[in-house]
Amino acid sequence: MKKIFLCLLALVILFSCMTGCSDDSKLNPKKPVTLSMWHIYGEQTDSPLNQLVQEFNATVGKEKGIVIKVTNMMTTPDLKNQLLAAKEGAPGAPSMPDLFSSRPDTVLNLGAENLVDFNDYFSEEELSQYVQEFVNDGTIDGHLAVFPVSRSTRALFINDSLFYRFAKDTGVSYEMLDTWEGFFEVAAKYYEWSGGKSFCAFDYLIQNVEYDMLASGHEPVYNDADWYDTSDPNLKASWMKFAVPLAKGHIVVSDKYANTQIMTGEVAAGVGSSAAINYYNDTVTYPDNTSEKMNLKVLPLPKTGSGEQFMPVTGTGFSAYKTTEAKAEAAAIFLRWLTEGERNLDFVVESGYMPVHDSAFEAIDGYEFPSPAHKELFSAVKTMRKEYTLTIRPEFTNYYNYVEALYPALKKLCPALQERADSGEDAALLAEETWDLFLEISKGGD
Amino acid sequence: MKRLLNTKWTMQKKLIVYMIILALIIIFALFAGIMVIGRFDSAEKNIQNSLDFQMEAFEKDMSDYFNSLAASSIDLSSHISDFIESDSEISGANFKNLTDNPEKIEQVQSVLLGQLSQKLQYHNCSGIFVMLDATVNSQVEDAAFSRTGLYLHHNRYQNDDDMVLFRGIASLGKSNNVMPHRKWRLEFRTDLFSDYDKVVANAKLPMNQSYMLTDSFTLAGTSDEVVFLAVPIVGSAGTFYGVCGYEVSADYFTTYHAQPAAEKRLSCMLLSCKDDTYIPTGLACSGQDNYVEPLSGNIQVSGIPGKLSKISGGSQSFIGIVKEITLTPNNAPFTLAVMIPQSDYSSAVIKSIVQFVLLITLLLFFSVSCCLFFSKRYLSPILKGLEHIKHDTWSEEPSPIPEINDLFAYLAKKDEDLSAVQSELAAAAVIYQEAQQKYDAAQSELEEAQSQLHRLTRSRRNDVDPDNYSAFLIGIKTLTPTEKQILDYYLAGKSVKEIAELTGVKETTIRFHNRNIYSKLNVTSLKQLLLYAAIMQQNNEN
Repeated sequence: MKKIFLCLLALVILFSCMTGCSDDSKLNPKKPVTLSMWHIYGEQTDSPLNQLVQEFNATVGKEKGIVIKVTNMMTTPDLKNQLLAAKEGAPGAPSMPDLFSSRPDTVLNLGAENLVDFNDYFSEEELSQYVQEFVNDGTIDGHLAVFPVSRSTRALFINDSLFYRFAKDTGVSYEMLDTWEGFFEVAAKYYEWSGGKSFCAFDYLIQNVEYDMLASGHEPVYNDADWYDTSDPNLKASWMKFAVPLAKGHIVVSDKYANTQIMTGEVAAGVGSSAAINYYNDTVTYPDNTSEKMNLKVLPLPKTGSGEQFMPVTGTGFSAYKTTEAKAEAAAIFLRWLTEGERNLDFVVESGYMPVHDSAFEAIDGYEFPSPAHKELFSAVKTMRKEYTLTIRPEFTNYYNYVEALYPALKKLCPALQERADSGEDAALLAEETWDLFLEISKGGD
Repeated sequence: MKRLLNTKWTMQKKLIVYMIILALIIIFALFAGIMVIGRFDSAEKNIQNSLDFQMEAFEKDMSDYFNSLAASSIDLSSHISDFIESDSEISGANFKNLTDNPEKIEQVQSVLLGQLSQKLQYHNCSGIFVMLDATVNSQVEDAAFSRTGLYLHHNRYQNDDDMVLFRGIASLGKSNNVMPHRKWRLEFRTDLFSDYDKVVANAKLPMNQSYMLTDSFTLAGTSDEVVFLAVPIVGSAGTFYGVCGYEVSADYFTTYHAQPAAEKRLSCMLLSCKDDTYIPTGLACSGQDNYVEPLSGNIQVSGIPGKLSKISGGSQSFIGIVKEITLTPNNAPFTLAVMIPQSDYSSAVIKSIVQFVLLITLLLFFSVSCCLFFSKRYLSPILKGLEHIKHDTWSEEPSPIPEINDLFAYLAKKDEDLSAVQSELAAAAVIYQEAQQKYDAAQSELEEAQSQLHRLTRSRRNDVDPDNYSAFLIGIKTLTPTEKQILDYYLAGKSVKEIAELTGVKETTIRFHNRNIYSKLNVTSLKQLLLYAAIMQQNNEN
């Protein structure tokens, strides 16, 4: 009887060994786990991240049993809205992705407790090699919920072919674009030269106002509704600096992204994310179907005064929705792979972002860029890194609700103001109307 | 079996062998049964069945989808043709007036934009386009390839109402809340339009036969791989107005045609076949819960259509089934492939074999173990009972088996019966001994009497008259049988009364015979008769 029991025991152990040989890893190459991914890198275009995903799937993913499937690519605000809809199970909303681009405000909306804490998968030593500001920015309620893979900044993009003709006729130069004062002067001249066309489209106008405040020595004040304290006179002062050329039509709020307005010849320049580099066409096409090479020029953001300047650090990281341990582990493996040395540099350069490793910043100097435009961009980034202070602005849950209300309202208002300015009305008074609109929006952006 | 029956194995050994044979028969019957009802088919057959089912579903999906898209495309073409023909400025032979006429082009696009955006919202596809056979500026470089028109495009992963303008007048798009695509261009280029010449050539065909699927191509400036279901736009007089249709992007197809799948990793592809080589159309999907990277490059299929085949391309190999399908009248039949990675197939086969071997081993192990265990458990009380019987100790403790207890009871009764018989035998022996003694005593008395008789006879011989004796001997021979019998009774010592009882006659009859006997023997008394008889007997003995 004892012998039979021992045999049975041996058989059970043998069976267990055959069915479940495993270490601590929850991954099994024979039963790959599929991670659905939503991201913002190269939506509508040839995404550098998608190419890396393919490489990962064919190498490390295959070896460890991970398949990353990109199931959505869109802009950051759209992605956030869809995430919230997915989480709420809104009718018609897609399923919640396993891995997605996110900002700290996205985490605040989704709840950090619902997301994977990457502190559980990365050692302190590993995390110390990342730019600490990026790691800290992604840490919400003690959870490293937004893992840094790249960060973007803002830059000034110019259709050099057009600017060349404009400069030749009017005597303006790129040096004039070093400061906002010079910038607005150039914008005014362009408006006149082009017969009433705006010089530049702004993707994130309110951020330029905020950074102007900072460079003027004033820290923006926020209220309890996650928006600016509009009673702050410094806010209005900086707002009005942009509002006057806005009312005159010298500058405009972009339709969605400035690059589309540059490539149709509507504007000569755009202020937007460094990541927009991949979205620019090589050519500008005019309504009569004539076209010309764009020769994209990228410059640092104009400076405010002569004091300390601030370099915006924006963009998203990656968050993983908490489902299974295997998926969390798979997400961590992918993000570690994506942010490894050379690969991260290739990725960020291709997509117009900044790397997340301290050492990678230095490596940019000797990098062979994929296009002259990329070289232009990283030259501008390098200048800002050298002359400006890296700054990450605080994120609030409702902040972008105000932003998303403000821009359409301004776009609706400004054409009328431009007409009135053209007809001789006082631009300063017209700019006050934009401030009134700002106050109106500030009353209820939620 | 007969040999087994005749072997001189122990009862336990025989029982184990019988039980093992029984277990083997049951296992065999079990497997035969599950084989017959198909519950233990080979992995290959299971996968074939599963993929057959997937193929059926995928084939229906493709057939329905492209039929519906073809109908929509024909309707779109007809609708645009009607629209153009309703405007005398550009209808029929005047259509050439559209070229170099930006105002008219904008007017046409402004009408079409709303209609196209509405159609795109309600159709399951990633884009819609109308390419008119005209250009806004015939003087620009490569104007011969440039065509005006509209191309609306969804986010390639989503079929929502958010769309962008890939081709068309940007300001018109913006005024209709359709933002230009990141890689927007004003006009189409026919040299970048896949299979443009073939689509144009279809203009000669009847409208409902003129649609076709183009080869897949990558949209300029993007990584979107797309195919068009394209239809020529032809006027009533046969004027060629352009081309229209719907776009299906690879990503859209992957997202919206993910198949409900039983297989963990399923890959479904639509292939075109040219010169015996299979080429991906770019339209591929996986199961709903898992994604498998589709095959790339030229694809090799080795195997019989409809049966499991090896399907390989690039560095990947799959096992699956292929089937031809006709989607349009102007394309060669396409090939549907439904497959799983070869590694999954191999794993399933190995797993199936291992499971089978393991199951057999386990069944055998448990059968043999059970046989050993139960035979031992079953026989041990019997053997113990036999030991008790052998050592005559069976009455000491009862057996747990009723039959053994019955045997014990039977043996006890037998013992009791034996004791009773032995007692009776002992009593009989005593009686026999006593009877023997009596017999011996009677024999002694008899012998004594005979001795006395002899002595008496010898002593009385001298008193007998020889003549009378001679007459006696002669008379003996004249006696009748009855008289002889009666004489014998007298000689045996019987009395008249006893002789009468023995012969069944009256005493008077005996006495009548006596007188005759006396007369014939010449004697006068019974005493004389007995004396002569004794002398005669003595003489006969001597």
